[in-house]
Amino acid sequence: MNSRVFTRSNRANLIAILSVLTFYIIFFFYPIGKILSVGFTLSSFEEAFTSVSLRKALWFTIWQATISSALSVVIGLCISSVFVKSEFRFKRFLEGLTFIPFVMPTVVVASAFISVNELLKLDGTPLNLQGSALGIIVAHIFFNTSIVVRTLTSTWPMIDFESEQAAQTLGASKLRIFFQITLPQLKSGLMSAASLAFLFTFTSFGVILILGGLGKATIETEIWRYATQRTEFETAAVLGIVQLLVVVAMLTINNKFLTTDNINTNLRSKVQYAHSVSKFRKLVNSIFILGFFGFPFLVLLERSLSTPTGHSFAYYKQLLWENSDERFAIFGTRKAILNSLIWGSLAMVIATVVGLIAAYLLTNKSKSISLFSGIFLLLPLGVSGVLLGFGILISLNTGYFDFRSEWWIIPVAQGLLGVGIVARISSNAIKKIDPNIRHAASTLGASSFLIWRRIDCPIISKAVIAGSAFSFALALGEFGATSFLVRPQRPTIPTTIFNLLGRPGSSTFGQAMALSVILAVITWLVVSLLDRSGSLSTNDF
Amino acid sequence: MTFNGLKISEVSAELGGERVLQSINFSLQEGNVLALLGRSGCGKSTLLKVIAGIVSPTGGQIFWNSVDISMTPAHKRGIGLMFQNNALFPHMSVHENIRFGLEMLSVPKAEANDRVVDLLELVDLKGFGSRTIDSLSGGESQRVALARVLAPEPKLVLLDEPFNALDRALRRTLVDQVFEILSAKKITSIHVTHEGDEASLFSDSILIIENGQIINEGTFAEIIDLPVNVLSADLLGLRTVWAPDAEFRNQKWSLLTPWGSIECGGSQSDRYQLLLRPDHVQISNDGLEAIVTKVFYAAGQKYIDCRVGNIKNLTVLVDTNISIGESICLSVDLDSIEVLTA
Amino acid sequence: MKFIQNLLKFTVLTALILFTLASCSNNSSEVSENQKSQSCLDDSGLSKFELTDQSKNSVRGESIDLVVYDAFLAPEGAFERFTDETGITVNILTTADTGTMVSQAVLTSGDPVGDVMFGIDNTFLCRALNNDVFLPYMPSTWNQLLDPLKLDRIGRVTPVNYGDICINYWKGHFEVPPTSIADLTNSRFSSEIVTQNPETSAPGMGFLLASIATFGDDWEDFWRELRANDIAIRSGWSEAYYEDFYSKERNIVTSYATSPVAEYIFADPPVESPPTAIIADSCFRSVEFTGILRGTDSPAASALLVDFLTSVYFQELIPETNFVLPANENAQLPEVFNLFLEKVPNAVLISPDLIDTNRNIWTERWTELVLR
Repeated sequence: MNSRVFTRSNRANLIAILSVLTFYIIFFFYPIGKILSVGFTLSSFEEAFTSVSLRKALWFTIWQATISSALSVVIGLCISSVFVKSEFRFKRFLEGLTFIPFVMPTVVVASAFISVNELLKLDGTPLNLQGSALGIIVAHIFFNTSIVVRTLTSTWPMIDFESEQAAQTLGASKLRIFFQITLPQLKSGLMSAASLAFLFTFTSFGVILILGGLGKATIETEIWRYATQRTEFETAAVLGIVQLLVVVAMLTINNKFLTTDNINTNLRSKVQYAHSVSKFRKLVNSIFILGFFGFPFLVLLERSLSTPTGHSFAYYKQLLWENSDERFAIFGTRKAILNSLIWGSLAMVIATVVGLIAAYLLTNKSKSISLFSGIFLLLPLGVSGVLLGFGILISLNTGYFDFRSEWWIIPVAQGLLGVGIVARISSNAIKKIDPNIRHAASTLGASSFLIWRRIDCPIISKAVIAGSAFSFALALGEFGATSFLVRPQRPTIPTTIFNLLGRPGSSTFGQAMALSVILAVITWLVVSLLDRSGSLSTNDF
Repeated sequence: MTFNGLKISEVSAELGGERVLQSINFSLQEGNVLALLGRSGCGKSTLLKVIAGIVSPTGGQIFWNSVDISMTPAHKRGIGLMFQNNALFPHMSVHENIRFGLEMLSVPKAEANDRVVDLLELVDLKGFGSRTIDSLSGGESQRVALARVLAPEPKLVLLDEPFNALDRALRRTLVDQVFEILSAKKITSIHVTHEGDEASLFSDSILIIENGQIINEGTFAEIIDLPVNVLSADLLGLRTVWAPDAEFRNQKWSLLTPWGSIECGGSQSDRYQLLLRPDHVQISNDGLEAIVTKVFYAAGQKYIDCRVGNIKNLTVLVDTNISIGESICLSVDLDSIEVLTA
Repeated sequence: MKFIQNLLKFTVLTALILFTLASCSNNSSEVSENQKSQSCLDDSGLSKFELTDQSKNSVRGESIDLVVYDAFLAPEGAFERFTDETGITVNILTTADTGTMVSQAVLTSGDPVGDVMFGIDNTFLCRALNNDVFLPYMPSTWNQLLDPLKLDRIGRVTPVNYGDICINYWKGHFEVPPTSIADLTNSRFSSEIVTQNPETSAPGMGFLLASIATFGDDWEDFWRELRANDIAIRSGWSEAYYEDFYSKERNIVTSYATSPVAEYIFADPPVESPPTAIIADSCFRSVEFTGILRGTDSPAASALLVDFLTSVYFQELIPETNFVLPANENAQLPEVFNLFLEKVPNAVLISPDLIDTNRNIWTERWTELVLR
């Protein structure tokens, strides 16, 4: 039944495929492929893994990621159990609070924990958060608990509560019910969240670099160090290959456990829960959330206002209006803010346009197109900024394709990192549309392309906007790829924060905190304003 | 000579690797109504989707007015489809929903708007144009769906049990209304339903499908008269059908009823059941003993269920006062018992 | 089973595509392939830039970027004077430490982030020269510059200052101060020392090289003991000196032989002699250079700046702002230097080639020993 005629719909398909593929090939597959080809020589593998420090870095990467994701899962479970099983006044606020860290740039979170360390004078104590594995793990839990909470709050209400009630009438204790009835049913949601958390902590860059400092190295930071400081590209490429393997493995696992068909969300009345949650537990939960997720931001804010002469906006003034200490002339923080906003917007546009086209292909009527897209178009989702930046650095550097020094390569890279998210969120939203609606449109005379434009697009617009907002936040806070491609005359907010933190003095430190606060506020504003419906559920990643 | 209407020729279809339709053949005269009866999962929805072009068949052809439309894409066939859940576009108003088909035909806006208003009046929804979809009641959504389907003036309308979600009274009203409109506009239609009585109201012919194959076809009267197989009888609500004890002897089946045995030919692998209609059972003193198990009414008529012989629930039409537990005598003319294939 | 089959097929397909795509472009001129058989100081065949009178006049009104490391201090009024004289505006582009600055230049060789670089030192020199980072140009002041400092005879870089990297300590803090770097492993100095990461910092590298020159093959043991003695490591000199050393959290730091003079000058209230001293036995001779970055849009303006940076006027400002010694032999040292600068009898000298050949191995080993 294949119509070989170039119908308008087929033409649209062709244009879509070609444009997306071209973009992907130039800016994604070619750079990544370059890493593979540079690193895939026997000698470089040998060289890389005889190095003791690299082996240690690999080991550290693995164990901190494991512990971070495991703890995130446990803490996420505890928090979710209260959210899912009870209703109370500030629940929405607290839920939102647990999600904020996830959209926050890594530099902001690192700054926040540095400021906590400062304020509480933890340096030298066992609880020291700077330059320690503890600090890294805590920061990672800070980021990734929200993934677990988000997944569970959407999947937990859907499991069969009647089985819990049945177990209760058969005499099972609370604990038993949880471990033998509830947990097995939550398994797939937990595995999906855990694999994502592992992926993010494995490829974590900003936190390790800034919070971990010189003494803590992971595969990601070593790629950066070998590529930019030592210009030893082969070793960096080998590490990149290791990274890629882990990414592919985690994405595969995550894909297997993804619960995509959530068409029916039955809102169960609270009466149906097997056990209600005690007031004490609710209180402990709320205090923990406020403390763990809220406190670091408050401290960050406080540190940004705390000058040697008392609390004031001095650092903000210095940042935005004066060039502070002559000794350490930073290249225009105003420029950095402007650049970040402009490039972030550009990246958002790129991510949305390419992401929508990708979503169109992912949900295409033609099985082969959607299958092919599903495999290739979602790859950027897991690839880290460092890998992409490194790839672009060593590939797009000759002749006609010498893009790496162009100003627009950074928003393109940032946009590419966001494409996967927009594509995934959009295609999930499309899948939720009742197929009969499309059939109806079809029988009323709408071609494939018109169905896409008149039916799919308007219906998923809310989700797409949320995805765009998120890709903007991602671009604003992007640090990994930018650190490879940035030029001093064209700074971004994250690289400026990083530079400020690297220089001594209370003034530069204060300014770093202030800039982090500014970045955090902009990010939070954008995401909360555009994601009104709260549709950024982690099932969508 | 060209045939005016729909002709389905040797159509087969697969869903998810499984054979759902097997060599379906039938014709439907233009302007007529066909009722498609069958159990759930028998393939009737799939057949509609194949005709509409939403599902591709694995074989066979579809003709409209003798033109082969098998290769025409769905959005060019001009065949309307009404769904079980209406499938109204949630992001558009009532007016926009109905206008959609006209937009696809590039009808100028002013003209399209006028047609929408006319259609709203036709389905008794005057003034509903600016309403949102989620503010409509079941019946109202139904009628918007009808208006939407009619707007592009399709030659053929397929209805996939669209009245399922409605209560009985509403359903009755809407069915009447829909078919009144369809017949006034002389639109050919196929109606999938599992309500046999409803089919009798409006259909010119009936198709009964089981396991992707047509097991009976004809007018309602024809099938009622001669159901031929058990499923048809069930779907049309015929009683009483039961599986008798049977013996296969001398290349013939002997079916044992309390009133005697009936013989019929066939092979050993055939299975038969018997049909005894309520009005063919008489209460007389020289009949067999039966115990009344139930007393009930249907469409105002009084019936009783009895246990007689090895028949657990034999339905009898009565007009006297009989109570449960009473013992009565029933006699039956063996010739009036019909044999059905199972 | 089917899922795994598909996954395998997909992986193989992807790998093939990526490989062919990328291998097509793999040429032998990868940045990281350094020709180690020859010396980096050999002529690499770049053509020299000549400054003509014509070009001197045509550059009025231009603006160029001077790339410096983070600890660089522009002498007050100096660049304004340059603008007055030539009409060229200079923007100071501060990067991070020397290593980062040079790496960036290597990665952007031919398409530089600025026009002139100031502050690349002899430990990083070969790395830059091997990657053709600079445009050869001999300033008009070439013959006034001290001969031993002209490590590159072709003029790709011009020496601009020199100094000795030595261990500094607060005099008052120690009853028995360290007299040689071997002393530093003594437990009296536990948790007292801070130095910089040799991968990125020039003084950090200087100290590492001094230790290698002093201990030979036993340098690794030296650093193991230093680590056991709780030595602190910072990325750059500014951090180590201004945060750890100034706050007296650490009282021994890797810095320059001229640092005590700075402490004397800035002491408030004034002191009679420098409050810090150096360990003179294992200092490393550091030479810093300036050069025009190859690929600059303004070679003439850049050349004028290089002339200026090596002029007597600017050279005489260097000691009191950046606390290193001028390369121009006609520049007079301020009196306070003659008074208080401690003599370093045997500064360690290592050829840039040798440093470059072993740099990666040494820093990697150092990282393993000290950081991991």
